Amino acid sequence: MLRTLGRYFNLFFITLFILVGLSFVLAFFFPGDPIFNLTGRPLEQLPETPYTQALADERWLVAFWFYIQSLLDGSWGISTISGLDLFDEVSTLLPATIELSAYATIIALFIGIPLGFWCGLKHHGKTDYTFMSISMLMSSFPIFWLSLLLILIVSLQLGWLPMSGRLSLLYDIPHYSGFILLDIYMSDHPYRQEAFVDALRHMILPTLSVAFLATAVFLRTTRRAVVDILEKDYIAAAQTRGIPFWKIFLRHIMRNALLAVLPLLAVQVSTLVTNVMIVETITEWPGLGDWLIQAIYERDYTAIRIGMLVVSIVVVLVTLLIECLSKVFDPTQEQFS
Amino acid sequence: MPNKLYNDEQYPTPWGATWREFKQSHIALSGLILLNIFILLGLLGPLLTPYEPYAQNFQSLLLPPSWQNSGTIMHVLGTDAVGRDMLSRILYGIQVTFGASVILVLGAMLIGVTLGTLAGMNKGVRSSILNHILDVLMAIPTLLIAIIIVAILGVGLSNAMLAIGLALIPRFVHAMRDVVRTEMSKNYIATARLDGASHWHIFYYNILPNLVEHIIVQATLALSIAILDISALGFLNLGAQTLLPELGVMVREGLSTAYIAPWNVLFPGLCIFLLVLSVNVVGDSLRSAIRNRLTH
Repeated sequence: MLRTLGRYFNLFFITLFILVGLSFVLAFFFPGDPIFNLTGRPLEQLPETPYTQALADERWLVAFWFYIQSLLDGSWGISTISGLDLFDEVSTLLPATIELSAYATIIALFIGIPLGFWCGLKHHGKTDYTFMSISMLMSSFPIFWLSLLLILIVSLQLGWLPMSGRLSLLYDIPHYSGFILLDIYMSDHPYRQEAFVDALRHMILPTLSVAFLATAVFLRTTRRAVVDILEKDYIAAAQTRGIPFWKIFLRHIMRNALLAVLPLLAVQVSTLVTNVMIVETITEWPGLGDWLIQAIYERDYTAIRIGMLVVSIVVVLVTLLIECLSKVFDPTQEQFS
Repeated sequence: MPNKLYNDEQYPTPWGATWREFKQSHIALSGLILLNIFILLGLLGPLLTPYEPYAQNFQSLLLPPSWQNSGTIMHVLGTDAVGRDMLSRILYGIQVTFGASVILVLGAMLIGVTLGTLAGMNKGVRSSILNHILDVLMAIPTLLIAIIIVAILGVGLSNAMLAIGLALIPRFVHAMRDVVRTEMSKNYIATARLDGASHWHIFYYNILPNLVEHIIVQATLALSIAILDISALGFLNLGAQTLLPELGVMVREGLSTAYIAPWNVLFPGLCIFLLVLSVNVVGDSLRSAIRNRLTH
């Protein structure tokens, strides 16, 4: 187990290094001056440090070393359009994105996996076919169209839920952790209860549109895993021994099916993040995806560089964590080959 | 059967057996028919359209579809904010979106299958490092790759295709590598080796015939991802540009008049939905047909 952990640790650091290197190299590929793309300021306005000295002398390898140091320090440069410090920007935006993705994933897991078990146990029955057809329909929706339809129907036609944003402007909640529900809970605002309800109402549409697609995928993967396991010999062996079904289900089917589902979830992380980014743009959720897409419209190259680095590191970290967990839990899986 | 004297048993070819399993399901067949209709429309679309996709008609702005009271039969699916016929634009849009997706999937397939076979047939540290880095690259979202490509090369349909193609290659590599590796460990490959077959010979005569089905299944998966991503990038203004009748672009253009003319958002999106649905149904049915053939 330690060996597996160590190898994943290594793999994470190698990829981290590659991604940081890529973000450094990207500054040269983007249009404009590479120094400007790296720092957000022209060379003359930069303070005298060894980093700027190395940049000015075009000693790129030394500059790369200082670049890694500056990333670790949190001095990520400033946005070329707004002039705001990128570290502060990202640290306020990232929690919003994580919040949206986490709630959507939790909803999808709690609906998709139990339904998947149910369909898998009753496979080739009526309920199974119904749910399989529904999930096939659900997974074919283009995310942007789905989100627009929900807004058009629920917000514009029926007027039930707010269209966009994260919280009504009426409530002035101080920024504390960036997770809106936690912030409202921690604050001593006089209308805390109302603000909480308002935040939840804003959250429903974007979370549901992301969860809609994820649920379909989770349902299908879980059902497939359950059906595969039901055909195994050890299930038949347990049945011939006369073990009651709920015991077989808990001890053999559920545990093995969940192990089979886990690595497939790792593949879904990147799709989830793409969907979250698109939904953020449509519903104007103030997260990293919306910010990054605004940055590309405005050609804000420092912001694109940092945004790309942060998003890809988070995605790679989550993916490797899930893969590592599934390898640790399931020793029968193919080890590093 | 013309030259058949005896009633000897017929063994269907693998493809014949797969087809027999495939046509058991009505859903699969209707998905296949729908997909064929889309392919036909994509190929023949420009011949069928009643209007030019760019032709603006200021006499008929924002006409509703023909089955509503104020719609006309001249514009079956209504018109958009500058009086362009919706049906014509959707027919052209199928050609652009579907055609671009097919081309990029074919490109990604060619590169991905080559790399995947190389990774699967070779062993050792070098292939291991390559594999793991590719796996990690697979985790980077398509939209992020597209944003980087757009930042470097600028917007446009071909750049969007390049970005999505790059994001799809690791998927093919991953899937092909696993299949090739399991095939390589089987006995018939060892027999061929003992007979002195070269690497190329083993690949061409032994591995490739077993690979074709997996390649097709992966290609249908990739195709549905490609259609969704191309239209999403068009919608976000990072892919095809305003003039081109691409389905995602049409949804974005319909957005500005969505409140008074919701059909301008509805129909292009519905078209993407049906296109992806037909690809998904065919791919999924093909997968289960192959699985049933192998287990029976």
